[in-house]
Amino acid sequence: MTIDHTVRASNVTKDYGQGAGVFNLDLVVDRGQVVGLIGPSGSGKTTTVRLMTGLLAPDSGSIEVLGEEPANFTAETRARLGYMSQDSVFFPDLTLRENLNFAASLFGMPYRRKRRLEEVVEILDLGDTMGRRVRDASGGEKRRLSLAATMIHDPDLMFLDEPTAGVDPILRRRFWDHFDHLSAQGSTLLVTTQYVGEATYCDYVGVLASGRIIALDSPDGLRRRAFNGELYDVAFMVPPNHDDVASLGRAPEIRNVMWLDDHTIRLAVDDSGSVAPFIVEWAEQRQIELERAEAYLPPFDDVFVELVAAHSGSEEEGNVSRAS
Amino acid sequence: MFPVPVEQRGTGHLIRSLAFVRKELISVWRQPRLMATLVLGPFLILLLFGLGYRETPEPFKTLIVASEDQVPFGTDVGDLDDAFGAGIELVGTTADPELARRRLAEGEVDLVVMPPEDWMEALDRGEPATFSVVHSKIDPVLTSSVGLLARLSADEINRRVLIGIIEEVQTRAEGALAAAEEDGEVSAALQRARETEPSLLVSPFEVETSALVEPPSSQAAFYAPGVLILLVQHLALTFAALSLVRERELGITEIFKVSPLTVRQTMAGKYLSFLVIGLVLAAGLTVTMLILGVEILGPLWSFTAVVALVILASLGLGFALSGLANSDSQAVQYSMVVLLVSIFFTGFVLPLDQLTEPVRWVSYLVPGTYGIAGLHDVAFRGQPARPMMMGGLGLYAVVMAVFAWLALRRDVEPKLT
Repeated sequence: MTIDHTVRASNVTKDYGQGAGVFNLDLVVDRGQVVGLIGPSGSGKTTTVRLMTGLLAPDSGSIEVLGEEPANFTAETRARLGYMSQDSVFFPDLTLRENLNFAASLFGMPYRRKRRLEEVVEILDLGDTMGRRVRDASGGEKRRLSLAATMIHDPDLMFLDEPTAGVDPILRRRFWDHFDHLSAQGSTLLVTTQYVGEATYCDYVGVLASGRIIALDSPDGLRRRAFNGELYDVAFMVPPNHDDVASLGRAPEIRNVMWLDDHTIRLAVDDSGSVAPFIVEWAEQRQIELERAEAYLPPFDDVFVELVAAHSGSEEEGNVSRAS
Repeated sequence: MFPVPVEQRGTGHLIRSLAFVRKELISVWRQPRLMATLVLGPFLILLLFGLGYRETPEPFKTLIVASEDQVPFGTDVGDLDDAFGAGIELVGTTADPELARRRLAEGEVDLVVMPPEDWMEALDRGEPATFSVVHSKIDPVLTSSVGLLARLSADEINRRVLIGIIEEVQTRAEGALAAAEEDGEVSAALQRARETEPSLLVSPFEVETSALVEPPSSQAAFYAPGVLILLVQHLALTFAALSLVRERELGITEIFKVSPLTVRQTMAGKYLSFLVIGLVLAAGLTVTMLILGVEILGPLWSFTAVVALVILASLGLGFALSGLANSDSQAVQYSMVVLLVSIFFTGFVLPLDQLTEPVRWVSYLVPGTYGIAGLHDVAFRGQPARPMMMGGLGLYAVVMAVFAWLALRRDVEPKLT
């Protein structure tokens, strides 16, 4: 029997009291996906990871990772996991190479591991620093070493808890490129981050707020969800008549109309790729001259703010979501 | 189906344990200050102790308050000095008691001896003549020494006075002998009394002591095995406790909990690495002992076994204590408390027999107690350590290993709460 889902959490609650923890968490992650958990500090990202790695037990609900309950992980299952904690934790008096070797040994990697070590070192551009003691390494080097130690044994499933925190943008980009590469090779990654913009690199993104997943979808899906569809900006040569614009809003293709300024409106549409002919036709009928008409891809910061604001305004809790 | 990693089927257990051996050895080697204080320090302590320990205590500087003709058995101060023995160094006499007390108070002298003013008159009255000895010591051991020396000196003075009296009696006994010639028995008794050495009449018996085994050549030699055991115990305990507490403080135990690492593998790795470090240290200390002239009369295998068991037991105690410590400094505090207990309760300073029965049980809560007794057997009695001590130490090591397992479980296995 083939197990497709790597992680399955069902109605999981871990309550620390005073509103802290995670509540009614439902999440399914399939093999080979890169799933991001995005949310502000204290939103429950780390607790979610700790529940899934078996570091914490849920108060209620059930979790299955690689076909086992985390509380009952066998050594074989643990050997297939990679876990990168929020802090770079290493032995300060050992060199980067010695620490990486220690991590490899923890997962029982045979001593003929030189090629694999060199491969990981090269991927993460750690070559020149491997002989340096960790106490003398920079923050970025430690984060790279953390990632190297997490992936050294080529795990099937990696839990990466804020791997890019405190990392410069260039290195962050390199990290995400590598996550993409790992995913292409069949690894599954569950990545938490505070950088909302990183959502765009994920196959699926879970937005966490106050311990709850308020949305779980593909990056595009989240945009649609946040703005009730895709966004399309229309700029006019002269300010249009408000009645004309109102008539546009009543068209079945258009879900919503927002005024950005006197000359510009932003439309929420079902499909920004097919709405262009309709807009052109509508303008010609009313002899309105268009300056430009194009799809607008909102930054994820805006998406995140919209989703959180929408969640705060509703009483809805415990969205059941599937990352597929 | 996900493939099972190859390493799980092979030597994964050994690889994980050896990872800790390598890590601990490198960590210790890379900390020069730790090496200096915890590894080099003991060598210097033992060397300093061996070289600096004074076999015979400094004699008490003594001042006599009397004119020389007041001395009961002669006028020579040198004779008096001789009578007091090696523990007392006569620095002079003075007729002024106040001056003597002032010099005593100012620490110029340790003792002031005031002989009786007229000892013959006291004897005529049927009373003993009293020597007054005044001292300024507060150390109970030194106070006892003063009392003992005073008694011994009094005995010696009494002996000398008696010898003088007997010599005089013997001189005058010739006339009595002539008068007693008619009575054969009285005559024979007087003859024996006259011809026997006065010193023999005063002290007709003496005592000879001998030991079943040759005692250590010096006080330093006697203490050396104890120093070795306490240092090895302290280092093993401290290394073990700090190792776990540091891993906890670093947060690396979270990685352990997610990894396939088991408590058994961690224990094996840590025990092995610190056993190696402890044995290397003990070997160095043993060489230092030999340089200081301490002979090991018994079998070397038993010596090694005692040291190895003390290290294992101390490691277990250290790991167990680490379970109670939340920081480096707390772990060091605990190890210092154990060291303090060890100094007083292991037989290192005071013989265990001097501890009352309920209190003596405290001694057996410290590995050093078994270790010191074991090394005394091997080094000085020339025999393997008593099975009782080895068994006790082995049992202690096993019990501590169970506590260590519990402490390590906290760091290696997830605590699902």
